[in-house]
This record gives sequence, C-alpha cells and structure tokens, in this order.
Amino acid sequence: MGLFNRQVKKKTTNGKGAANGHDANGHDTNGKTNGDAQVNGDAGEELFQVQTSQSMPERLRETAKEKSPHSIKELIPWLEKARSSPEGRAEFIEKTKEVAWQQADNTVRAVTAGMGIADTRAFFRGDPAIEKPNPRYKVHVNAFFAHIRPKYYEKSSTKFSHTWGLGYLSAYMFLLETITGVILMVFYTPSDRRAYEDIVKIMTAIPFGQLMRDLHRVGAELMVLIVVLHMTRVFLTGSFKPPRSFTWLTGVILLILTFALSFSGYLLPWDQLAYWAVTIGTSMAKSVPPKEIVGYFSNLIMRGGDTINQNGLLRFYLMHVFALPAITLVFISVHYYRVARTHGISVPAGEEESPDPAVRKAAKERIDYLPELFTRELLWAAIATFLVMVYSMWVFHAPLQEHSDPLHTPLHTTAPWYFLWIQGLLKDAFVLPAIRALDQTIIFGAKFIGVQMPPNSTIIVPFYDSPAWMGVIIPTMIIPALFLGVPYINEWWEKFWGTKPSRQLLKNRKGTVVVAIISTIFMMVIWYQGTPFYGVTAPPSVEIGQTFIPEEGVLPPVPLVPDDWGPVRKLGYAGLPDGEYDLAQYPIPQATYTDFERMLSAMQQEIMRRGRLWEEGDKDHGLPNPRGIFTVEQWQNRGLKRIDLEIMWDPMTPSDTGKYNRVIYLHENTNYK
Amino acid sequence: MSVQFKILIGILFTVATIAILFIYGIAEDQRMALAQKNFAGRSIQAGADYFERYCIVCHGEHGEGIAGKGPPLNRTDLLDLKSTPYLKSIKWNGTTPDFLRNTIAAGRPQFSAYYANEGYLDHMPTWSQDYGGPLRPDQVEALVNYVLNWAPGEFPPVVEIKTPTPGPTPTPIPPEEILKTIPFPVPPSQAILDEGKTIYETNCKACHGAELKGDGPGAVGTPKKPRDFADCTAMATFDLIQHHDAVVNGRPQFGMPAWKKFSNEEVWKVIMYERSPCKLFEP
Repeated sequence: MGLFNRQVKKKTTNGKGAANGHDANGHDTNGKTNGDAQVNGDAGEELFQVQTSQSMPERLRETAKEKSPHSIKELIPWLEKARSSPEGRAEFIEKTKEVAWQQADNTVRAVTAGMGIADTRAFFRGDPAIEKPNPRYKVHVNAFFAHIRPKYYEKSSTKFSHTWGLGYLSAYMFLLETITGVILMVFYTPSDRRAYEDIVKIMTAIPFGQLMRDLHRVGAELMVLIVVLHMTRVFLTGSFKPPRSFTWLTGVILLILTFALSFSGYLLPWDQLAYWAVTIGTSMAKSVPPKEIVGYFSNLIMRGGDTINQNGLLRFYLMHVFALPAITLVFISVHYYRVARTHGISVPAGEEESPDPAVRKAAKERIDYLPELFTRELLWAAIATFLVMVYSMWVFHAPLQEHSDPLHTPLHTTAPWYFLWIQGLLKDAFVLPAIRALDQTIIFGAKFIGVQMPPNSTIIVPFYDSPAWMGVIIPTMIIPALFLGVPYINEWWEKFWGTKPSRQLLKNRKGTVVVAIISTIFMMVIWYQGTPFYGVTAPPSVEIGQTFIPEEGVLPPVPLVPDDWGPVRKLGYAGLPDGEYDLAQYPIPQATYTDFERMLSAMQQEIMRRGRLWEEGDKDHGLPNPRGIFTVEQWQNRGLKRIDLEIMWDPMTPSDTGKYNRVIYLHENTNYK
Repeated sequence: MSVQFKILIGILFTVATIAILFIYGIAEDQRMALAQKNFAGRSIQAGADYFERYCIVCHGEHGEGIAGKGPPLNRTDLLDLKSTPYLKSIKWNGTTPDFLRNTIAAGRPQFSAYYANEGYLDHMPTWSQDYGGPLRPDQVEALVNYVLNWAPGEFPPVVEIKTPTPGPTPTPIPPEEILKTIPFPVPPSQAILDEGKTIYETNCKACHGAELKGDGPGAVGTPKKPRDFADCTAMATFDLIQHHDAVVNGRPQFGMPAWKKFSNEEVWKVIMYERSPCKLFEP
C-alpha cells in the first residue's frame, strides 16, 4: 500500500467514532459522502470501492478495484516465472503493465494532492467522483490553496445574478495590482528628481513597460469601482445582516484601504496631474479640528513638509508598496475567512425566505468547489485578464502629463474621481447658504425688537468652519455610518419594531430602497459639484483658452476614459497650417471646411457666445466685444511650431489689458491622440 | 455550464490573451521608438516654453543673441555636432549637450575669452537648483533639447559669429601718441580726480575695491587678484601706457573687461584717480 492509501485508511477508521457534526459549510468532518465507506466496514479492504459508470473504460475500473503490487521489487517472483515458460512471460508483461500503471497513478495522486488518474479524468470531464470517500475533498485537506477554499457552497449563493462575481473580481484586481506593481517597482525610484524620468523610461525604453503601467492603472480604477459595486450589492441583498455583520465591518475597512491604496499610488508618476490631485486630497487633512494641532500635524506627517516634496513622495511610496498592501492583505484574509468558513455567501433572500419548502431546500443544495466552482473561477480570471489586456493595449493609456511644478497650479485641477464628492462638499452648496439665510433672518428679526445691526454683519457664519465640516467631519461621518449604522442599527431597529428580520429588498425593506436611492442621488449631486463644471469662476478669456488648449494637469472627472488634451493638441503639428487667422472670418462652420477650419469656427462660436453673455448682462462669464486671433508660427525648422491663441476685448477698467494669450509649442513627434 | 465547456472557453481566452500579447509584442519596438520621439518632442516643447520665460531677455527670441547682453546660441559652430568647432576652440573635451547642460546649470562665473571683445555686462547666472538657480534638472534638460533642436543653416537664420581666432593685431599706436591724448594738464587738478572717482565708483569699485586695494567683492574667483593701486612698489613698474592699455583693451585672461564704452576723457580721468594714492601722474 502506498503512503497515501494508508492515510486514507487511518482517517476513515477515525471517522467511525467521530460525531456527525458540521463546524461550518463545507467543513463537515463526517459528511454523507464518506458515509458509504463506513457502512461497508473493512475500510482497509474496500478503500477503492468503485461506482458503476459505463463511461469509464474497463481498464480503469479494474485497476482501481484491484489490489496490485506497488513496487518493482514485487515483480521479482514474476520475473522468475517469465524465465521458466512463455506463459509466465506473458503473465510477467501483464503484471509489469499493472505495476507501471500503479506507479503512474501514485504519481498523479501526489501531484493532485489526492486524486488518482481515474478521478483526475473524471474531474476534467465534470463527471462525479469515482472513488469513495470523495478524493476531491482530500485535495481540500492536503493542498494549501485548496484548503483555504471551502469544499462546497450553497448552490443559489453562487448564482451570477446574485453576486455578480464582484468579491472574486476585487480579489483578482488585488492580485493583478500586486503582480504589475512589483514589476513597475523594479524600474521606479521614489525620488523627486528621478520619479518622472523613470516613468518616462518605463513608457519609452522598457519592453511591455507601458502595458504594465496601463494594466496597473486600469486595475486600480476597476478595483475601486468593483469594491464600491460589491458593497452596494451586499447592501441591497441585505447580506450585511447577522451573522455577517462583522464581515461587513471588515469590508468597510477594505473599502477605505482600497481608496487609500489607489490614492497613494496617484502621486508616484510625479507629473502635474499627480502632484496637484494629491495636494488637493491631502490639504483636507489640514482642516481636521483642532486645526492648530491635529490638522497641522496630520498634514505634516502625510506630506513631510508644508508642500509635497521628496519627503512626501517617499512617504506615499512606502505606504503604497508596503504598508497599505500588508494591511489590506490581513483584512482580505479576515474578510475571506469569514465568508468561506463562518457563514458562506448569502443565499438570495427570495429563495431563502420562500414559503415553498422545496425552493428553500433547493437553494441550500450543495455545489462542490472542485471542479465546478474552481473551473468557473479560472474561466472568470481568463476572461477578466483578456478584457483588461485588450482595454489597456488599445483603448486606455495611463496619462502622463508634464513634470510636476510646485510653483504652478493648473487651472481646473481636481482630486481623483473617487474623491470628487468630497471636493463637491467643500464647495459647500447647501449648508453655508442655509447659515447665511439664517443670519439674515436673525438680523431681520432683530429689527422688530429694535436692535439695529450694522450692514453686512454676520452672526453665525464666523463660527462655522466650512472646510472642517465639509472636508473632514461629514465625509468621516460616513465611515461610522457604514460601520455601525448599516449592520447594527438595522438589527436594533428591527428588534425595536418587532419586525421579522428579512433580506427581501422590494418586499420587506422598502425604507432601505428609499435610503439607497436618496443617498445615491445625493452622492451624484455632490460628485458633480466636485467637477470643474460647477461653481468655478476663472476669467472668461482664460476659460476660452482652457477649452481649446487646456493646461496640463487636468483629467476627465470619470474613470477609465482616455485623456483629453483639447482640440488644438489633438490636431497636432501636421494639422495646424502656418499663418495668422482672424477668427471673425469663421463665424459659421461650412461643409467645405477642413478639420482645422472647423476648429477655428468652434473657437469663434465660443467667443461669440461670451459676447452674447455680456450683452445679456452676465459679467462673470461674458466679455465685451470679444475677438480672437489664432497664430501658428514655424518656430524651429526641425518640427517645432508656436501656437498662440489671442483673445481681445474692450478693456473694462484702466488696469484691464483687454488681451489674453494662450501659448503652446507643438513638436512634430508629439502625439496627443 | 458544464466543466468541459468552462475549461474549453477558459483555454480559448488564455490562448487569445497570449496571442494578443504576441501581437502587441511585435509592435513593441516600434511603439517604444515612437514613445521615445513623443517624449523627446514634449521635452523640446517644454524647453521652448522655458526659453521664452527665462532666456530670450539676453539670448534673443530665436537665440540670435543680443548685443551687449548675451551671445548667440543659434550658431553653426556651436550646433555642428560632428566637428564641434566652437567646443574645440575653447578646449572642451565633452559633448555639446554636456557643454550646454553645464553652462545652463552652473552659469559662467567669468566672461568667456571667446567673447572678450563683445563687452557683455552680465555673467551667465546659475540656473540649476543645484547651484541656487530656479530650474529643476528636467527643465535644464528640456532647454538643452530645445537649443539642440535648432538645425544649423536652417530657419530661423543661424547667426554666424566672427571667427574665434583673434583677427589681425591692430598696429600699435606709439606710446608718445597715447600720452598726447591726455586732455588735461598733468598732474591733474582735484576736480578731475573727483570726476575720476565718480566713474571709478560706478564701474571699477566692485572688483578693485573702495580703498583702491584690489579687494572688492566682485574679485572673488577671478584668476588673478585685481591690481592693488595702493601698492606703490608695484605701481612704479606700471606706467601710464600699460595702464591705458589695461583699461581700454582689458585683460580677458584675468577677468578684467575691456572698457570700450568709456570716452578718451573718461579713461584718463579714471587712470588719474587710480594713480592718485601713489601720486604717479607723470609719464
């Protein structure tokens, strides 16, 4: 008997005395699947009981059943027989084949950590296991990566329309980020002098360097997106309810960690985009009350100085590549262990709470991890890898704009898209106007009791610290709300009202639906307010320049959208013929226009729109009598052009120059498409 | 979905992923070359921007140089990367990019002998943050790339500079003739010495010192200590003719500029003031 068979024998014998208990899903020490072996008794003799299966070749079944010699030594008596007679020789050959087969079978058992040749074949064909006890469960005992997975799930909990595979995909993205991140680490130095140069090197001199960077970026954006969607799914299916409350808590921590991981990586390219997005993000820390102590020191600790510099870069780098991944790994382990070992994935509420016992029973039917779910996961990974590859190869490239410049803040720069809602809160469109209105009401009321306030006086507004409330306190309140509010207050609420705990969204949790819709709308509104489209007042001439020739350091406010460099850069060197163009000549686009002329026409229309706004009385966005000249000049003969968009208007004040120039240079080799 | 079907689809996707990696890999060399060009182009663009911001004040819009302020950069002898005539003439052993990078980064603590007869008033300052200037290393690099992007002999017109070797030596004026140009009686009156002092204090004091001892703050780092006019033994061997020559033609090798902007009268007034500590007014 081989080593492995002895192990099995021992286990089965122990099984007789063990209680028929479950410690968790998929962890029954003595499930019904290995019950047959016990009933048959004589575990040593009947180990390889074979199920009758017509699809199996005779040979496999026979070999599995027979007790055959296992070592070459045992062939020696047959060798003597072979020497003596031709029949003996035939027998010897037959015996040799059997021994060889057994040897091969043992090797396969070692490799698969428990399954013989016959069972391996059945595994890949999707047939039921042949041997008893089920050798696929042995794999879960013997192999590390199988042992951290449960032996089976409840069938309905693995439905795609229930989970959308989002938890699995989050873990997949974490793995993708780890692999691509380690490769990028090889070529990156966290130094303010070299970081940008290294990224350029990754994109220009390292084979597949750009692909690695794109994959890392796409993975990061997707990871944030998927984690948020995963949380939404869990909220909507009520899967945070007991016994999964603690799992929800670890999930909230993982959400915060995902944000932190993505945000800390944002700084590392060290371009204008990275620098200013992170400057905006970290500047919120300055407002943590009390500002003079906590705000000051948390900002100092994060940035390593008043502004982000070499110290800040190194801190963000170490957070990104070491501290945060390590903490995340711990929480992923805890989160996953709870799901896999303690309570499993929730079954769809409709089926679990169904009045029909047949439905309830069918939902809890088992589906084995090996091979059904295992192959499903590999299939998902293969598809996800393919899609992410295609996307990063031909659709989306990670942006890299000009080198960071601490002395120059780009116009309309924003925090990363997943923090735009905080930036929107900071614009304070709700509370500050309300407090101002309250002030006015008090002053108005004071008039009636005879108190005359000086004009423009304020009462409550000076006591209201907008950045602290909007940038720190309210966003931070969301964490305890998610942390305790969702799982625990919900439970308390149900007990208080004596309602039967239910996870059915549309049937028993109508309040939840309302809360979810309202908070989603609110998040979308403040997210929109965070974009440059809301409440930003740059001078109108600068806005015209920004529309057509944006400053470097700005990204579209949505994830995974290719970078937008504005129409002039997109036309590029070749698309801009030399000359001085009076935009007034291009008021209406005509069918015969080239792309260049169409762009000139778009400029003129924007200029005319500003003129109309002024006439309508909008002094903030309009310009008096605006006109524009667009100049393209060959600046160096080796492919460098100077592009100058000049906007002129009637000066409004003596200090008003009445002129604004937006100048860029374009080289023939640069590509902004 | 059956296990076999899942395995089949999974293998198909894996093979497809490997296939697209291959396809992507085939074009990788080409992509890297294009990306290299792209980023080189962006560096030149940035360099043009910095040039406009920092350099055109002295070197001109197209690097053609501004008389009295800065030498031309857009020059065939500098930008000819093969024969590098200019670098050879100043005995620079490195490459042209190195030369430009070092010059931009560290500036020119003293005037180049090459431009001695141009009479620039200001030194090239240090630009790199390493030497107390405003520019980051990548900005210096961008400027180098921009300057090197001027094609010799093409648009905009490349400025030809006078040959680096000094032209035919002018026929020396006989000493008697020089001494005859003194426009006032010697020894000079106190009024003339006072006028000389005014000219000295605006132009010469920085290096030669307020006390005429050759210890002014501007003299730090010059190859030779400026002349000490209070040292009468040394001054005894330094006659009026030599003194006149030093002021008018300068001593470029020691960092003394040629004061061509002075009129004859001003030159002699300064000389008389400088010689006043030792009272060596006679020829």
